[in-house]
Amino acid sequence: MDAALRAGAMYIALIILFKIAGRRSLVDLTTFDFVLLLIIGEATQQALLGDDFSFTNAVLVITTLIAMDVGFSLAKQRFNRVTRMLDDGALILVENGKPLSQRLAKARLTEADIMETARSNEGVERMDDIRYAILERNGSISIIKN
Amino acid sequence: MVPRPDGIIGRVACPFTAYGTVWQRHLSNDKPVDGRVTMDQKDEFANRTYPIVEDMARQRRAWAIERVGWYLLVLIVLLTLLGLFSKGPLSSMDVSSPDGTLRVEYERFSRNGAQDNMVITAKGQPGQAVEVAIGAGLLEGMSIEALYPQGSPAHSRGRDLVVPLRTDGNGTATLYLSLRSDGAWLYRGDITLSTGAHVAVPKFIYP
Repeated sequence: MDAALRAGAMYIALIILFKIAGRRSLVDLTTFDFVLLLIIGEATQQALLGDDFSFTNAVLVITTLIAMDVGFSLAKQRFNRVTRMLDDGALILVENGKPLSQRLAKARLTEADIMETARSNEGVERMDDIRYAILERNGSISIIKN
Repeated sequence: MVPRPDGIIGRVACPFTAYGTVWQRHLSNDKPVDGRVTMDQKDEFANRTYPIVEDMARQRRAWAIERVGWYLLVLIVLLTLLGLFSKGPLSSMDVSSPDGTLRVEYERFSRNGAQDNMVITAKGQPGQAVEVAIGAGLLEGMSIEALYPQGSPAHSRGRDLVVPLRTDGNGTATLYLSLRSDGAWLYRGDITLSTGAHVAVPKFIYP
């Protein structure tokens, strides 16, 4: 019983925490984010397995996690309200070369972040060359060139 | 063109906002002054429909939740430092019986699977044999990993655990327990001395 409860509680706790952290949290991994990811993994593993390192326990935990994951995506398909609760919509950050600074501030992003993505993904040099920069639902930034 | 006092420089159908109005740019900065919503801010938070359809009301609600969540996280960290989740000023307890002959130091909050210590001090006549009884209510939520000093064998009375001790030359006997929590929720138990002194030892174990 406790294997399923542990996995379920951990899944929900992580969803809430990453919801609070915002969608950018683990997309563009800096060195610190990478360390954070490792630590989260380690801490989660202990809590998920407890002191039961059996094959059965591991399978039960993984089964519960996958079942919840699939269950949530099915619920998202069927109920629009679940989607609204769990996912933010996409957000325009740059419009015709003009950064929307209020939105950037709220999304905890800077113009430098956008230019970095623009340079590395699209080879764009200047803000003026960006027609749209869009913060996607998964936290990545899409650049549409002029 | 002379700027109008309301900040509108013209009425041109704007492809990105529903307003049909172009707001005059504030050249100094885009930050709102004294918390009011400036015209630029209003424009920035207006819904766009191309290339994606936005729902800014929802987005702003999400940002508000993120902000509240951030305060919540800070609160949790502070409470952790204070010991609400074991080991800290809020958790470390030092309780004594009214007559002072029995004293228990323990953690009021504990976490499932974690280990913590309990020290029971009994006072009596020098060289006196005393018995410390640990209530069943407490033992249901934790297992004893170690128990010192190990003298004459411990035994049970009902469902309680009775540990015989002998006081030293000052009339003090101390029992050190190392406990591992393996339950969750509230456990209430008494620790009783054979002289009749007893203290209540409630313990909350987090899952």
